[in-house]
Amino acid sequence: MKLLKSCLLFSLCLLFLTGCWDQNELDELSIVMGIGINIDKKGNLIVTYQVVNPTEVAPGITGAGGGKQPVFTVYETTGRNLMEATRKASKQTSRRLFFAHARMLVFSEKIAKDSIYQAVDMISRDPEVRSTIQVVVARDTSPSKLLRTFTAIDKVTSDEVATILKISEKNWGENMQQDINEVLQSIIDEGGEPLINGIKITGDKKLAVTAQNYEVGNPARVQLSGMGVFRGGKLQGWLDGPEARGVLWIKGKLVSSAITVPCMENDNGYSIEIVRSNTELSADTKKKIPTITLDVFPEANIAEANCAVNLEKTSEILKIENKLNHVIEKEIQKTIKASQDFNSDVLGFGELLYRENPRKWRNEYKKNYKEIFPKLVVKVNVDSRIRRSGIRTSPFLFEKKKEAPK
Amino acid sequence: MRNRRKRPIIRTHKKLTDMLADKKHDDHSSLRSNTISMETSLQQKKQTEKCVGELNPVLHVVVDRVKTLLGNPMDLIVREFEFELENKVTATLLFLEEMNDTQVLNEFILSPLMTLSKDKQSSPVPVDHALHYIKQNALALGRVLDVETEDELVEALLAGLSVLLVEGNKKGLKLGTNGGKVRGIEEPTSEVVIRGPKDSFTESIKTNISLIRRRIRSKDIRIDKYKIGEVTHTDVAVVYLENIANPLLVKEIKERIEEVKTDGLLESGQLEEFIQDETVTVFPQFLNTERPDVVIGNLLEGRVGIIINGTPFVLIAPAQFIQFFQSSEDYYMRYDISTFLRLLRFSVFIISLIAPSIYIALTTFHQAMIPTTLLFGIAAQREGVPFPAIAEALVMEITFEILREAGIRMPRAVGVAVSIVGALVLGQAAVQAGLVSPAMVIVVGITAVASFAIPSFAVATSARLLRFPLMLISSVFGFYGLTLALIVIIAHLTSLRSFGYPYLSPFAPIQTQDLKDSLFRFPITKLFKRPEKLSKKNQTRTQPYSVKKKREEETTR
Amino acid sequence: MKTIKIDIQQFFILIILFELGSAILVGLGMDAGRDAWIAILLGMVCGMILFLGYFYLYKQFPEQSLTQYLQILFGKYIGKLFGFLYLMYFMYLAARVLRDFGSLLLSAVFVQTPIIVVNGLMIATIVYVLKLGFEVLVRTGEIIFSLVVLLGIILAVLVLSADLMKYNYLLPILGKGFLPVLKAAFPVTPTFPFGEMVVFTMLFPYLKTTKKSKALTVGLFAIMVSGFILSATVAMDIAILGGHVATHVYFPLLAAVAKINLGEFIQRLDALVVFTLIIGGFFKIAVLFYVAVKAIQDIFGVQEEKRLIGPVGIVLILSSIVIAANYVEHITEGLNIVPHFIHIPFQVVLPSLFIIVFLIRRKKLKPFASSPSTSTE
Repeated sequence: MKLLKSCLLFSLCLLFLTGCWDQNELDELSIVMGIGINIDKKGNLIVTYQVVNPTEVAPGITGAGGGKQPVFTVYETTGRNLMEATRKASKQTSRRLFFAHARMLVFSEKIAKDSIYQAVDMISRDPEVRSTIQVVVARDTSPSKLLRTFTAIDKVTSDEVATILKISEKNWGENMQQDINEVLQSIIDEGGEPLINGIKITGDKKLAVTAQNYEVGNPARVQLSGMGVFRGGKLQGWLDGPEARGVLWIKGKLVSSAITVPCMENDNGYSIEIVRSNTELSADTKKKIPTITLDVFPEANIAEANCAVNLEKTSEILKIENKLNHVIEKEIQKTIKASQDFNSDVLGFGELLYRENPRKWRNEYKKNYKEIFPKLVVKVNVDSRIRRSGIRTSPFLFEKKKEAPK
Repeated sequence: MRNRRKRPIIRTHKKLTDMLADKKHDDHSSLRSNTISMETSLQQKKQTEKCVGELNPVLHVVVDRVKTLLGNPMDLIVREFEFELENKVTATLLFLEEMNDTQVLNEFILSPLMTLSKDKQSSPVPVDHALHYIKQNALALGRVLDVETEDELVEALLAGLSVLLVEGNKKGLKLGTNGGKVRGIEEPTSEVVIRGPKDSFTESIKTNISLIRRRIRSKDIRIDKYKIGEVTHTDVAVVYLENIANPLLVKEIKERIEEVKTDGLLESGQLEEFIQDETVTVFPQFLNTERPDVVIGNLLEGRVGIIINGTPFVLIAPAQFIQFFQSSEDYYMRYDISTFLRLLRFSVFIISLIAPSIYIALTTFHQAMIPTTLLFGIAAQREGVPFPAIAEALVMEITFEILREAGIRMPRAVGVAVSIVGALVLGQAAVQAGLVSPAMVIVVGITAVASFAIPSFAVATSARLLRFPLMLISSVFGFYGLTLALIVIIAHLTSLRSFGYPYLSPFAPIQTQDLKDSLFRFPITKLFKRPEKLSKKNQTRTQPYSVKKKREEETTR
Repeated sequence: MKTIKIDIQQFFILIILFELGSAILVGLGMDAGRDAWIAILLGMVCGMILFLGYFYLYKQFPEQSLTQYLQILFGKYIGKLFGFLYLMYFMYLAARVLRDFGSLLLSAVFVQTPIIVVNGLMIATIVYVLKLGFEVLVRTGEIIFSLVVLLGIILAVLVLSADLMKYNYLLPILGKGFLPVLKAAFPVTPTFPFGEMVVFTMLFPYLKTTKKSKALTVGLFAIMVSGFILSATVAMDIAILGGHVATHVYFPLLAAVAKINLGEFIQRLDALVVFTLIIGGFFKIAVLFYVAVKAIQDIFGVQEEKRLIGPVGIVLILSSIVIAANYVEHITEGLNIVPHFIHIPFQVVLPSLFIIVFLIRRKKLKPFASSPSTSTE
C-alpha cells in the first residue's frame, strides 16, 4: 500500500512538473545554423543568426504552406556582448534560439582586424554551441550579407560553407577546416597563431540575398577565398592560392590536390594528381637561430600529359618527379616567406621547437620569438613518388612524334 | 458471508451441497469473502469426513445419497443390472456420462459381467466375495481400485471414473473408464518454430505426461501428483529428474504447492501467482511453455516442470530472465545463427522498452544529439502538432494498446477490419490532420513490432507496462531520468529470485560457465556443463572430449 | 541477519567502478598540461601504496570494518570518536561527489532545473537500490560493468576509426620538466580517486575469500587497471582536443567524444558519455552512501541498516547543497582545501597512525584481532 501510494504521488508530481525546467519541444526552438559577428562604430557587437525553417529543408515533408517560405531567415541584433545580443533576439523571434546545430561562425573582416579573442572565448564557453563549429572570416563582405545569401545545393548557407570546406580540404587543399577548438588551440600553442578561412560572395551580389538566386542560371555563390593570417588575435593579411596550399603541405594535412608541372617548352605540360602526402618536421636547435627541416613525401599520379614524352621510361618518370619536387618546394618556401613577412607563426614552428627542445624554448626562444621567427631557416626536402599514369601509358603526342620524322 | 462463520457447524451433506450451490450464486462477491467461505467449507469437509464411514451395503441407499450429494445431475447414469454368481446379484454402475468412454464400459465391463454364469465358476462364489471375484475374473480393464467411503466414491465419479457397486458389499470398485472428448495434440499456437517438434501440450494432464514420458525414457524421471483447489480438485504434477535436479529445490517447490489453498485452479498462471517469490514485480518468475521439448530441455538442466490439468501451459521453475529470450529452436539450429537471434531478441526487448522514451528525451531535452538533417526532418514534422511530445507519445501508445487488445478479442474475421481501421484510418488520418507527427508513428510502430518479436509473451508484457513510467520520467528528466530508471529496473531485476535462484544469473552474479548458453549459444560440444547452481550433483552434460575431436585424432593418426 | 558476501570478481568490479566513477569524466591531473597522463600514473602508484596500508590493517582485523576495529585499537570512546570523524568524512565525500555530479549535469544539460531536484532524483534511486541490499548494488554493478565495458570498447573503436587523435599534442613528454608533473600529481591526484580506496576498509570484511593474498593482488590489479584506463582516457582527450582545451573544459571526455563524426552518420555521441557519467556517479555515490550507513551502524549500534538509509539520504541531499555557495567555490575547495586538509589526513595520516598504534599495542590486541566473534553483534 505504501509503495502504491508513493508511486501514485510520484507520478502525480511528474505530471504536474511536465513542461517545466529544461524541457523544450522541438516546435519551440529556432535552430540556428550560422552565427555572424560584426562590430559597429561604437564598438557594439552586431550578431547575425541564420535560422532554419525546417519545413522547407526537410526532405519529403510538405508542411503547411510548403514551398512558399524561404528556407531560412536571418535575425540581427546588437549588444555589448554576445549574451546580450542573443537575449535581445527574443524581441524578434517567437522561439528560443538553439545553437547546438550551428555549423558556421563568421567573423567580419572588421572584427577580425580588431580582435577575435573576445568572440572566440564567448563561443567556446557557451555550453550549447558545439566545438565542431567552423570558423570563417567574411572577406570583402559582411557576415550579415553572407548569411543572407541563398545557395543552391545545400539550401542553408552555413551548411553549404561547412560542406565546401570539407570537400575542398580533401580535393584541392588550399583551405583546411578550422573549428573553434582548433582555433583556440592554435592561439594557445607555443608561439602559435590561428589561420582562418576566408569566404566571399561571387557573382551578382545584389541577387544573392533574394530567393531568385535559385532560379537564375548564373547565381551569386559563396566561395572559399584564401586563409587569413592572424597575429595577436588580429587579422594581418591573407594567404591565397598556392601559398595557402603550402600551409597544408607543412602541416601534413594535404590529402589530395592537383599540381601543374612544366614539360619541355610547355608550362602546363603535366597535371599531377597528389594522392597522399606525408610530412616530417624536425628542428635543429643548436644555434641561436634554429634550423627547421621539412621532409615532404607526396605520392602522385599523372593525370594529364600534354607533352610528347615516353612515359614508359623510368628516367622520364624520374624527371617528372624532380620537377614536381621543385614545384612543391617552391610553393612551400613561398608560404614560409609569406608567414615570416606577416611575422605570424601560423605554421606551428614554435610548437615544433618546443617539442624538440622544451628547455631551450622556454629559456631562449620564447621571449624573443617575434624576432627569431622571421629569421628561421627552413630547409625543404621534397621526395615525391609517381605511382601511376592513369589508364594509358604514353601520351598519343609521343606516338605522333615518334612516327613523324620517319 | 462473513457471519456465516459464527453459525453452528453444519453437519449434514445436504447442507454442504447447499452451501456449495450457495457459493456459486455469490460468485461476484469479493475475494476476501470467498476465502472465508473457503475456510468454512474446509471445516465442514473435515466434519463430513468424520461422519461418512464405509459404504452402506444397501445399494439404493448409496445411490440415493450420491444423487443428493451431486444434486441429481442429468448426466449421472445409474445403470442397475444383475449378474450371476452363486445367486443372482444386483449391481449398479454409476458414472457421469460425458466423462466416460461408453464403448469401454459396454465392452469390458457390462458385457463380461452380464455373461457370467454359474457354470463357468469352479466353486460357488459368495456375495461378499463378489467384488474380489469379478475383479479377478470379469473386468477386462487395467485400472480397477477399491472404493471404501462415500467421499471416495463421489470423488471418483467427479474425476471421470465409473463406480461399480454390488449389493451387499461394503466396498465398491472404481474403474478407469474415463474418456470423453479432449482436444487432440496439435501444433503449438503461441510458440511456433520452423525447425523442431510440432506437437504441443493439451488440456489433459494425462496426454501431457505421456508427451513428456515418450521423450525422456529415463528411470530417474519423477512425476509427483497433487490435487489443488477445494472445489475443482485440479490435478497438478511436479516433474523432475531425480539424478539432476537439486533436491532442495524440488522440496521447496513441493512445499509451496502443498501450501496453496484455493477454491479453484484453472490455469498455470494462477498457480504461478500463488507460489512465486515476489508479488510486486512486472517480471515473470516462471517460464511457461506448451512445447514438450522445452520442458525436457529444462528438466535436463535441473529445472522442475509443473503440469496443471486443464491447461496446455506447463510451468518451469526456477526461471532466469535470460530464458525468456531463448527459444527451443536455438538448440536445433546452428549456434551462429542462434547467437545472432538471441542478441537480436534482446535488443528488440530493449527497443520495445525504451524506444519511445528515447524519442521523447531526444526531442524535448537533447536536441543537440540528433544529427542535423534528422533534426530538420523531425522538427518539420512536429511543426503544427498541438500536443507536447509526451502527450503525443502517450496517446499513440495507448491507441496502439487499444488496437492490440481489440485485435485479440475480436473474432478473427473482424480482426483484419480492426487492423485496417487502426493502421490506415487512424494512423494515416491522425498524421494528415496534424495530430501526431509521422516520426512518432514510426517510433510507436517500431515499438509495437519489436514487442511482438520477443519470444516470450510474459516478458513482452513487462516491457509494455514499464514503457509508460519510463516515458513519463524521460519527459521530465530526459536521459538523466531514463538512465536512473533503468538502473532501478536493473537493481530490481538483480534483487529478484526465482525459488532462491538469482533472476539475472548468469550475469549477476557472473557465472562464467553458464554465460556460454545465455545471450550467446556456444557450439553444443562446448556446452558440457549444466547450469552451475541448478544441478550441483550432476554437472557434466556431454563429455568435453567430443566425438568430433576423436574423429580428428583418428584422421591425424 | 543475512551476512553479505562479495566474491573476488565482484570485488574487482567494485573497485574499478568506484575508481572510474566520476574520475573518468573530469580531467584528472590537468595541472600537468599535456603530461596529465603521467601524473595519473604517478598517482596510481601512490594509491597502490596506500592500498597496501589499508590492506595491512584489514589483515590484522579480518572480521571487522574500520569503524569497528578503531574501537578495539583505541578503546571504546576514542575509537568511536575516530569512527565518527570517518563517518563525517564518508558523508562529506558522498555529498561532494553528489554536488560535483549535480553541478556538472546542471551546467551541461539541465540549466534551469533546481539542483535539489537533480540530486534528489539520484539519491532516491540510490535509496531504492540500497534498500534492496548492498548485495543488489554489487550485482547491479556487475551488469553496469559489462555495459560500461561495452560502451568503452565502442567509443575506443569509434575514436580510433575517426582518426581524431593528433599524437603531436602529447609531445613533448615532460616538456616543462618533471616538477610541474610532480606538483600536479601531489597531492591531488593520489587522493582522488585512488586514495578514496580508504572507503574499502569498511567493505573488506565482506570479502568471501579463503586467501587474503589473492584479494590483495586482485585489489592492486584493479587499481592498476583503473589507473591505466584513466591515464589512457586523459591522453586520448589531450590528443583529440589539444592540451589547452582539454585542460580547460569541465568534461574533456564529453568534448572529445563530441568531435567524433563518421560519415555524417555516427556523430553526436555525447549521449553515450552522458550515460556513463550518470552510471559512474550513481555507483560512486551509492558506495560512499552505504559506507556511511555502515559507519553509523557501527558507532551508534543501530541494528537495522534499512531504517538508516532514508534519513542519511535526506542529509546527503541537503549537505550536497549547503556544502558550497557556488560551483567555483566548490571547485576551489575541491582543488585547494579538500586534498590537503581532508583527504590527506583521512587517507594517509590517520591510517598510518592506526598502523603505528597497532604495532605498538600489538601484543595486547592479539586476542581481539584474531577472534572473529568480537564484533559480530
